[in-house]
Amino acid sequence: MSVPPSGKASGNARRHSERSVGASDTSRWPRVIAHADMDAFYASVEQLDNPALRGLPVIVGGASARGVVTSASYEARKFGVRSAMPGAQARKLCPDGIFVPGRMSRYVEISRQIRRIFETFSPIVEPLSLDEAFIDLTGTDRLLGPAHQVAIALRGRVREETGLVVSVGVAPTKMAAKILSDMCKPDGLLLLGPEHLTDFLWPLPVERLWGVGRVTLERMHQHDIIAIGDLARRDVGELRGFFGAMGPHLHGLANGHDARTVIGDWQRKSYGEENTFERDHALDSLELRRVLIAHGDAIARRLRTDAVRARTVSLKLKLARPLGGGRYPLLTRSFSLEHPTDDGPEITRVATFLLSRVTAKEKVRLAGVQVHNIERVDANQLGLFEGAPAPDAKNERLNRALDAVMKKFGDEAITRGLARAERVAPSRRIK
Amino acid sequence: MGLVIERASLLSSLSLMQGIVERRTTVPILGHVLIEPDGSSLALSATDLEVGIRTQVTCNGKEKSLTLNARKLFEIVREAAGEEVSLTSLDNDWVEIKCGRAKFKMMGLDPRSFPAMPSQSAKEGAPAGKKALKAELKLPSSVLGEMIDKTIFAVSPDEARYNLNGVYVEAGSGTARMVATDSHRLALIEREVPGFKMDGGAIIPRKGIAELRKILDSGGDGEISLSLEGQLAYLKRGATEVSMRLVEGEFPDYRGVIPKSSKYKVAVDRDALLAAIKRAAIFSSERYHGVKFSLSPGTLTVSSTSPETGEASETLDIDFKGEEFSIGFNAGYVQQALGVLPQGSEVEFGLSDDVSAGVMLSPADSKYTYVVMPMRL
Repeated sequence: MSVPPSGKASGNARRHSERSVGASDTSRWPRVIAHADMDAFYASVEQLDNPALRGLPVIVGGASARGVVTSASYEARKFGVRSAMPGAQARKLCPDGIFVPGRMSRYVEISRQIRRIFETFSPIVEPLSLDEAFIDLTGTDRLLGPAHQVAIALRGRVREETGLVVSVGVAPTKMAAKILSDMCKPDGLLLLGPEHLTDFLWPLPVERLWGVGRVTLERMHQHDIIAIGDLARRDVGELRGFFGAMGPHLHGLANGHDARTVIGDWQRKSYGEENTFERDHALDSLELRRVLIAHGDAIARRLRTDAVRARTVSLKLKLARPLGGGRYPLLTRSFSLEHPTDDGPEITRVATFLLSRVTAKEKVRLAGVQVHNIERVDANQLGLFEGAPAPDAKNERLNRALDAVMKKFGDEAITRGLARAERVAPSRRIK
Repeated sequence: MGLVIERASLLSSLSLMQGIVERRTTVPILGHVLIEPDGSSLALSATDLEVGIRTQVTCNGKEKSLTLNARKLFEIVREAAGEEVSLTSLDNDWVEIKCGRAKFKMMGLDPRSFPAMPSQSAKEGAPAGKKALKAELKLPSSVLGEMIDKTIFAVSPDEARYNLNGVYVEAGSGTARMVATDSHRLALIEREVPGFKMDGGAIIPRKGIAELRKILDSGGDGEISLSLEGQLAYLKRGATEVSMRLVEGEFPDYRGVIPKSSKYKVAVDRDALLAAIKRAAIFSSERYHGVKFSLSPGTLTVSSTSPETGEASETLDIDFKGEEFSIGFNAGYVQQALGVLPQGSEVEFGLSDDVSAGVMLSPADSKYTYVVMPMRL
């Protein structure tokens, strides 16, 4: 596999690696997909805001009993600290580590700023979480130049405007782009042409494929499938026998076929918020109600920001009783509304109703709310009867006012009393 | 035993039913037609519980009542070769259908489980408290057809706004008025109907009025009578009757949203404008269908831009002397209204500013008003 240097590595060179593998003419690619992933995002934000932390092993989260590390600076990673690692283990590995609590609202703020930068490069940006996103660069070459230059410019803009570092993978498929951004970290850029796709994928371990979890991996190993190439060279019929319908799908991925496109925000299918509690809560506890209120409000606000409404609300609960192997029983319940909504109290009302229908008597360790069946609100078309108050006009005015307050003074500036009563641990955005 | 029916008349009757029977119903019998022989004719009925249609077809022979899947029976009769179709009941609600040399066997359902037509069920459940509606709209079928055509396209498809899911009918002084709106635009037509009186108004559901429209063209332009009684609208024409439950709910105050006056009045050739909008709409965004109307002395420019695909514009000469201004509209909303106005006619646009309703009038038809809200572009 030849690794020619990229066209131009312009200015400001602390860049670790900016490489193009098979830097073919990206305008000829069927799709040009970039995956941008912030390096040690939360820890880097802490170091950015507090210069005293720079160059030190900073560990975000993991301070409390059940807490896990949500982010570790590269200085801490040298000691083997990784995100999702239990706090106690991180402390053992890195006794001098500086443990700081997370400041979710700050991360959200910077995440938005970064997303706006991404959106200046392409209208189709699919955020996966606060710190990573797919960006569809297909067809942008005429406007912005070749994809590798676009990626260089994008990394430069993020660094200039936020002071943070983002690694970028560019490939004709989503999966390859994501693997590339991971491989070139920290502070890297990798671009891979379609003609090198299989050469690149095949030596990688098969668990790099999306959809290969622990159980599938074990069975892969039983059938002597270790690398992605082993899978790619197998007979599809045989794989169907081993893995059912997933067999042919994984075989396709292993051969570089990944038809998934970047889904822009307005095409998004669902919005969700969930969090794992510091300690388990009973189903009828006030704490659980509070969490649902916070989730309902957070989701509703995101819906309004994107000018969409949702028709279906689901509740997700993970029970506290371990099943072994780090797994817990999962319950989900859904309910569809007659009219799509973007109102927090209404989402919370449905989630609370769904909660009341759960008959299990156990405690829960995780609660999440998700909404689906997203419909676009056409804000541009004026209405004939807008002068007359619609039944929910008062609520809409209230929501608009809340949004305006939060936009000006930050997400923490105003919340519902009950949601605030006990500061819930920062929730995690899902999808 | 068995019925023999003329294929052509059975086909036309069954085709009337296709709009009513539910395609993907969870209640199988709502996908069926009820066939009730009665001497030398048989009655065909179909209903989705909201709208019902019943028609008579002449036949020979004797048979008990049957039900058959309306879609399948229609397909069989449509594809049939001979002049006649015969239906013979077998055991357990199975039915044998023969036409030409083809033979089909189809499973029916127990005809006793066929639901009552809305006309029957609505009479049973008479409304309590509210003053019962009772009105009779008598007018030439061509006039009713025109009134429906010029309003039905503005009915809201959004089921959540159920009070906008139909055409509103009310009486003026010696006139009948029909109004439809989806809250973005509104169509209003008024026609002279001497002696027509009714208290308040009624909302006739979209699906029902569309089915009713289909039977207006057959059988010449005779006077017909649309009954509005209780919770029901009912119309009989020849051997066919359509009945439907009225939409319950309050129709919004439409009078308040029709502008009394407009700052600018612009007369435009209907055909030229319709063609220009169709061309400009090629580049309007798929999501919003917006087109821009730019007025300047002597010209109207219709244009659209799409950042992804391109742009289009076309200029029409008009008699306009005001200040330059522009306003955005959903292209479809304007097109649909122009579409129902007579070819070769002139339309008059009343516009005030880019956030106020535009009014479209037809000098050829002073009793038709179309109001459309602009879009922010």
